[in-house]
Amino acid sequence: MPAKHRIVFFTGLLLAGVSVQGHALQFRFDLDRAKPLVECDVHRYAGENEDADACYRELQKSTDFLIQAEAAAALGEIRRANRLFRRASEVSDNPAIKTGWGKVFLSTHQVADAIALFREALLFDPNHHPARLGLAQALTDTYQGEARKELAQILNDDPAHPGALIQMARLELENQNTEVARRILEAAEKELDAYQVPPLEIFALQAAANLLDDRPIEPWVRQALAINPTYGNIYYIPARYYIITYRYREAIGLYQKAVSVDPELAVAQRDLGTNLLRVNDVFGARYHLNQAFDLDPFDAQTINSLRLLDGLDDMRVTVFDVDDEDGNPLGRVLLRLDEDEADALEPYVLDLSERAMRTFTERYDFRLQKPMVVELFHDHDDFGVRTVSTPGIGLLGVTFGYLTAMDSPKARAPGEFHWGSTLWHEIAHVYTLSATNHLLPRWMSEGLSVYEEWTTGPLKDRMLSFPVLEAIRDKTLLPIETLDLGFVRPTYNGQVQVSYAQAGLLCHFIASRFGHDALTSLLKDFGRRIPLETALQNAVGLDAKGLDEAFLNHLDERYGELARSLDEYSFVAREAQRALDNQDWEGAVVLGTDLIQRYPEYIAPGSGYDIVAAAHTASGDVDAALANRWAWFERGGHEPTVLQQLIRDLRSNDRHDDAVEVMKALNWVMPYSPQEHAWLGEHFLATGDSAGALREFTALLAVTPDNPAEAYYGRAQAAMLDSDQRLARNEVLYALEISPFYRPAQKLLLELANGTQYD
Amino acid sequence: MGPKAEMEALMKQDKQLATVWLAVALWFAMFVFPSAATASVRAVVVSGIGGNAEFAAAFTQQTDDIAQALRTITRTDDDVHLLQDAQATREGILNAISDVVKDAQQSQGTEDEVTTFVLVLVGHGNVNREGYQYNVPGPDLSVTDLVSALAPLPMDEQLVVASTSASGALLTPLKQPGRTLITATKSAGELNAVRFSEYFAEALATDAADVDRNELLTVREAFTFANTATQDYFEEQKLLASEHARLAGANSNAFTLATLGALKEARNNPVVAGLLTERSALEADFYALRARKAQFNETDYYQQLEAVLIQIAQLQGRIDQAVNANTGAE
Repeated sequence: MPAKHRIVFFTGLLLAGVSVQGHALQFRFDLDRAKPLVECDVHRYAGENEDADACYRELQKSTDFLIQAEAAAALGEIRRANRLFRRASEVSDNPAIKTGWGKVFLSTHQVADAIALFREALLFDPNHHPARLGLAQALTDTYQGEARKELAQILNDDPAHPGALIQMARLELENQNTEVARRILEAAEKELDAYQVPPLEIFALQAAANLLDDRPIEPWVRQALAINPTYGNIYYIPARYYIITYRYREAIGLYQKAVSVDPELAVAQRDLGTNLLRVNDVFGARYHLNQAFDLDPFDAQTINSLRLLDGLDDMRVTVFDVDDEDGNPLGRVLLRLDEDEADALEPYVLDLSERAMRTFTERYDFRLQKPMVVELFHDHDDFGVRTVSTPGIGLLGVTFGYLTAMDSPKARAPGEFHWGSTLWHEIAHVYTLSATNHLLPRWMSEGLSVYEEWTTGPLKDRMLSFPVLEAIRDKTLLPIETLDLGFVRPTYNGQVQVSYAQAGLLCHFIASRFGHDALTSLLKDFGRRIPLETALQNAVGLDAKGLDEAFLNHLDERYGELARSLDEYSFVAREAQRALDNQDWEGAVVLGTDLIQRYPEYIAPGSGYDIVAAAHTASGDVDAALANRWAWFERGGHEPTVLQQLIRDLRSNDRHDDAVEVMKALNWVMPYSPQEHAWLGEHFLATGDSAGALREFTALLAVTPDNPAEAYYGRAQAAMLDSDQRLARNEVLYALEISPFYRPAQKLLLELANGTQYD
Repeated sequence: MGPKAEMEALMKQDKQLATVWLAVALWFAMFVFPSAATASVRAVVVSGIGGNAEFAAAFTQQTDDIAQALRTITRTDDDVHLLQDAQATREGILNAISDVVKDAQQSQGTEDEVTTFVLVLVGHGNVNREGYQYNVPGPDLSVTDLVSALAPLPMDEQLVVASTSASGALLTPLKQPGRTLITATKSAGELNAVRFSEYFAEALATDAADVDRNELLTVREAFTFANTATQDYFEEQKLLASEHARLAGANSNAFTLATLGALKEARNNPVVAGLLTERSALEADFYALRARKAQFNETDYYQQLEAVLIQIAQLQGRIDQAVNANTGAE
């Protein structure tokens, strides 16, 4: 199928009339499974696929619809299997029918339908373990808690059920509880004989446990391939555990081995393609995703990724090299932007990337070893597919080693996020992840990025949210040893955000108490696989407990009083709002000022600054309102409509330099406002900064101003500043081509025509 | 949009422009400067019921701005009937249109012939079993009322702007040759209060919509500005657009809604009028050349364009001098 004509699939594929190859080997933990089917299964488990296919084909002559349906499913004849399961279900209440049917849906990624069928099977027989196991499998990826509940129910009934034990081990490995997983797997292995299932999946999960423990996986691989030489899952299953620890390049290595052992393993082809995309190997990614599509056209993740690849071809790619101040190369940046906003964003992304590279190279004593790829997507769903092959994720940005992808400011409502700060955060990840080969703990990676946002980034905002202050007050912050769980296994709503802030505060504390070098020391030690305790001793001379204690003391000193008086703060905030509502301007100013004194960093909507500014504005004290807004801005306030008002007020008070500062800040939160680009362009023209003027008028053109002629004329003026009359003539002609009566451009054209000869 | 894409868009426009340009030039000479022309314009501008103070104030302001702009193309300010508040009833509107019909019929074949009619309805609308209803104090103005009231208008040049919710319902019943129609919504189903009026009024009250800067604001320019601003609003706010404006009729490029800037000040100056007639010939050359851009290589095209633009710029200098002499400006 030509890539451009591919249909976009997000969810809900329908069973179609094609054969599907490439499904992963499915083991049947069903003691009641019909003997003829089990005989065929054995060939399949051993990788004797021709024999297995011949065996299943023979079973299609059976008079039993269930056997026929299972055989069709095993042969990948999905439509026939679907028809046969339906017919079987019309004449029998056997729960195995709905279970087998559910597995067909599961194999075509129709999880919701599969779940419904497993549940129907359980209505016929609540103790039908294969159905419950199927349900647990279906729930595993999305609702882990529920999957555990289903598995526990099977194990309550049959504590040695190998299928349930294997699934349970898988969940333990997700949490990196390798020892627990190993014990479960050993118990499961002892029970396999009764089911005539070989221990292939157990070996793959044992290999995964080894991988997580940084031990070789080869012993398990050898044993598995001795049983089934085409068992690609022996590499594919462990690779997932590289992914959850963000080691994409290593995962790619395993996926490559998986597809070399079993080229028809569609999920391995898909994940190989997806991860090649994460390291910017677009050609390799396209090849393997196409392979995956040919093997399994039902997989929405594959189709979404292929669609994204089509989109990547249409993005503008810019490559630039960054040097340090002495001209030494610091690295190369490859920038990918959607064409429709590239002109508006590119100058800012380049500028910020350059500053970030200079800053982080010095601060982390690490030079990039490969080009850094920066991608901004104007469609949040494209970013979602780029990240996890699925739209609808709740992230702003993500970094895969040397590649960072994020929402462009257009992907969200104006002011919803500070894209400059997000980009700074992600580039910090590029450095810290690459410097340690992804071996640093999650808290440190996020903590350093947040710390850099606060200390070196483009946003001055240092506000802690109320949930963070409540966690400080209630002493619910996690100790450093388990802080990663706050990111990956949150136990309450909002814990992920609290953990981000805690990690940032911790890094900030380490740097301010022990010096920035302590952070670099930790980073380097983690990169050398030095355990946390030793790394902490090397960096700060404390163990984890000692550091926790010092950190909590520091937080209490710095934020304790505020955290303990949050209720009072909320009360004052309500009273201040009430004063505003009652048009008691003086009261509102007093109460708003109290709020500011209590928590000067709080700049969110409804802050003391907002109250005071509103009261001063309403009472006609324009100067006081402006002074208050300026104080808000200096604390990192960045709500775009307020910034725009501030710009207008500063301009009308002839504070042009201050207005320029605010305009620059506005670009990092909402770069699509034509008026501010035009003003900034004019400012740069007036100050003789031709490059700045050219940048702003180019950005202005990209944000579809009411009249592009003004932007072209601005570019013409910038060219005149550089005495580049040829460029000026071109730009002025572009301007007049749109607006032939635009007086300033007409004057410049006449000036150029009368004063100079040009081609 | 880069220069290339912009130009492609403009080229499309130009193909239409080139074909109507002669008509534009003729109309320009006849109409823009009433002192030298036999044409005249009548307009009825209505502010519908607001429903709350905020809408009421906005509709009043918007219709004030629109009426003010239309007065730049009428002979006298009284040729624009502005109906607001208690005057903006069904009866008031029908009477105002009826007055125009009488004027137009009586003036036919005379020097003062009324050649152009503009009706602007701002406010809320809805649709019931009888079709579109424009919400005004007292009984609403129905689509049947409108069709009947407008039917006897003899002039070939008419513009009806229905900037209300559900106004898309008027597209079919009001359609007729020589009539240009603007509705704020594409159908009767778009029932939310519309933002289009705000931007349409802005287009008429400022020079932002006058893209070619010739100080003549056409219906097409005003519509494009307002429609783009409306759609930008929804896109910027990440909201599903609840209105999609429509423009129907072939005459929108040639239909001037307002004069702007110095031209407005010099509307009765015969010297300026003469120079503008000269300018219109150069403008015709310019648009014709721009419409044929694809037939040239880039260098040749811009060389020829530059030559025309220099002539236009020089002539514009003379026009500005004449205008300044007239207004006493420096």
